[in-house]
Amino acid sequence: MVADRIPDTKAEALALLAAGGGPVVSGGTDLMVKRRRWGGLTPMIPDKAVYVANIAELSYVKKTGGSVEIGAETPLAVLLDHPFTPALLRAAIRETAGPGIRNTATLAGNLVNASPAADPALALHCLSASVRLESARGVRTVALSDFATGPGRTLLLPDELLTAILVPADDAWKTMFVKVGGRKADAIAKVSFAGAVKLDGGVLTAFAAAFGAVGPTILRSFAIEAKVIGLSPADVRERLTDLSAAYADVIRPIDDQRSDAHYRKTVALNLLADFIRSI
Amino acid sequence: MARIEFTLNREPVVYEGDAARRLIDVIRDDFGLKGTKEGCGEGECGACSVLVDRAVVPSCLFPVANVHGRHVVTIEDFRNTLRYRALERAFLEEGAVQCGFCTPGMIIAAEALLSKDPHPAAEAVVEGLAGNLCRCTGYNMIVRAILRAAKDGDGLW
Ligand SMILES: Cc1cc2nc3c(=O)[nH]c(=O)nc-3n(C[C@H](O)[C@H](O)[C@H](O)COP(=O)(O)OP(=O)(O)OC[C@H]3O[C@@H](n4cnc5c(N)ncnc54)[C@H](O)[C@@H]3O)c2cc1C
Ligand code: FES
Ligand code: FES
Repeated sequence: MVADRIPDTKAEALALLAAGGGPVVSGGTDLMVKRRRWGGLTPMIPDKAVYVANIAELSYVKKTGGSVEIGAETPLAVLLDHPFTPALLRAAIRETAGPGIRNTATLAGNLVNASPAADPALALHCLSASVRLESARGVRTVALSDFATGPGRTLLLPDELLTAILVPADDAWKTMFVKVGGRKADAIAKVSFAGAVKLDGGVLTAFAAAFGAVGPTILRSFAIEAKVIGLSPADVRERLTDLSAAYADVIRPIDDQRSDAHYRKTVALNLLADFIRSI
Repeated sequence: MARIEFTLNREPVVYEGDAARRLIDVIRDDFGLKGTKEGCGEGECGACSVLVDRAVVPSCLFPVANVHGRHVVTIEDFRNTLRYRALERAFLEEGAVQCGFCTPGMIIAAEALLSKDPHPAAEAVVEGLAGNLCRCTGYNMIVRAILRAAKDGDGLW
């Protein structure tokens, strides 16, 4: 270990967290802005912070039995170019910030930041990914659909480190990612949508629709999705009005300076309709 | 208090201080390298771009802790290369410099882009500059300048 807050290994990082260290800092692209102070003063990140971006063993992409495992500290730019990156995640990263931010931002930071408008997180939700959380006490795996509990809030405990993202096999999935925002490099999504389906023998064997920036967390309705499984694409298109109505009941966007609630909901349902027509 | 060892413009250096300091403040205030500019301070304009292990990053969001063991290059060192000269000439010939505030960041972003893709299409240049703002030129001249540097400086990247 070099400087005592910059561990070289996962084990050292977990020991620091177990001893009361934190917060964890990865790329810092969210934290350095949030904790910013003006006039050249150092950002308000406590001395006991643990800097994990340089832990080489947490930066990797590998395939294990069809599913893809991504080390939590892999920069987004590496994922953009990596052959194992699932297509939907790649599409989301292409829409995330500019090249400079992507060179340092990580999936761990994107997921723990728990913004309902986050792009890589939206793709990972849609792909039913889960996260591995490790501490000196042990390891647990949590589905992304359970992980975020509100804007900026997750199930992560103070002594836990997010170490890996696990994405089930996405071979033969048909996917769509759309972000409606302003100028691309710095745009926070006003509304975003990720969809994925799997067709087998003329029927849908999987259907996932995830909505971004339409509520306190990224939204997916497993109840509505279940109604679509087993139908043919033509059947689904025929039920578009019913499906839209069902989603209209669960989408409850907030008003903010970026866009009003009515606009967000309308756009979200239009994106869903585009996706269903494309199946 | 952290002790951070890294390479700055090909010289090994040691930083001792708060690990949370922004790389831009360390470069400008501790090492006196003022060519790296601060615009927005929030990752949106790219004026503060530097190279870390040859990749462009916004130094206003980069905690100095994260450069430990890595190589930082600023415009002061890049200025001594033939690649810089090719970019400088092309920027001047295409009228891509007006007030000049964004220029060091644009040049650093152009170097990162060309070292990955020596013969980029115009769209790739636009994509490569997506994190850099210019209030003056309207970007077309900058894109043309980078395409010209790639052509006139063929073989340098
Ligand atoms: C100009 C700009 C544009 C942006 N554009 C986009 C965009 O288009 N789309 C988008 O989705 N985001 C965008 N972002 C937000 C940000 O870049 C991403 O959310 C990024 O993925 C955060 O990763 P990071 O490594 O920098 O996180 P950090 O800032 O290091 O950390 C963020 C949070 O995660 C926690 N954390 C980090 N790593 C771990 C870990 N391993 N274990 C436990 N906790 C951890 C930190 O404690 C902190 O709470 C933008 C940011 C800026 C400044
Ligand atoms: S000053 Fe760093 S991106 Fe604007
Ligand atoms: S030349 Fe003035 S900001 Fe670009």
